[in-house]
Amino acid sequence: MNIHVEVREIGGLTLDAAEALSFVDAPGNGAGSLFIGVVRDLNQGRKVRGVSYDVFAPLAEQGFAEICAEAQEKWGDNLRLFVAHAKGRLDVGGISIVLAAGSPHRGEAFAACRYLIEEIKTRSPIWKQEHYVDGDSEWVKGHALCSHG
Amino acid sequence: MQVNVQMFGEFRVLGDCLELTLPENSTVLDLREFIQNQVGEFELTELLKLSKFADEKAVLTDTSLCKNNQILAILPPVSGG
Repeated sequence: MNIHVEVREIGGLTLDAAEALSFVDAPGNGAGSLFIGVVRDLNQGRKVRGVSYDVFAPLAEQGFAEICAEAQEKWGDNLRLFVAHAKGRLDVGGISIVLAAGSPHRGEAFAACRYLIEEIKTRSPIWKQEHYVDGDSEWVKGHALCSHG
Repeated sequence: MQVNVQMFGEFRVLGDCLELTLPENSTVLDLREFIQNQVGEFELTELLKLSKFADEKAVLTDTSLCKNNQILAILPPVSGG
C-alpha cells in the first residue's frame, strides 16, 4: 500500500513529520516533499490561544484517499503519499496536518504535496474553531462543499 | 421514519446529534427544510443554505432519498488544513 490516510484524535499520538517521511521513503524514490500545518498565534488581527478541529472522520478519510488517488493519476502511481489530520484542540504551535509525498524525482513530489493541501482545504469535512487570548471563540468561515450524484 | 443527523462546526450549538422523524420517502431537501424550521432562533438559516448533507461515504444531493434509521451529517462550509 503506497497511501496512508488518517484522522488522528489529539490525546493519542501527536502528528509527526518523521513518521510521514519514513512512510513515503522507498528505494526508488529520490525525492520526499513534506508539508506541515501549524496553529499560529494571530489570525486577522486577533491573538489566538489555540484551535479546535472538528472532523467528520469517516468521510474525511475517504476524501483523503480520493485526493491521493487523483494525485497518483496526475503524477504517477508510484507516488507514495501520507496524509494525517488532527482532531481535537491544539495550542499555538501544535501540528494540525502532516502531508508527505515521495517520488523518483522532485517535481512530482512538490506538485503532489501542493495538490494534497489545496484540495484538502476546500474539500474535506473539517472545521476550525479558534480560541482567542481574550477568552472568545469563533468558528472560522470556510468553503462550501460540492455534492455529486 | 427516523434519521439521525450529526452536527459539525457551527451547528454544534444545536447539540451533537438531532434525532428527527420525517415522512416516508423524504429527500435531503425535505430534511433541509425540516431543520430550517428549527434553527431560526440560532441564526443559522443562512449557514444552512451553504451547507451540505452527507453519509459516511459521500456528500449527498438535495434529491437524495433519506432512509429509515440513516445516520447523516450536516456539513457547513469547511476550513481544514
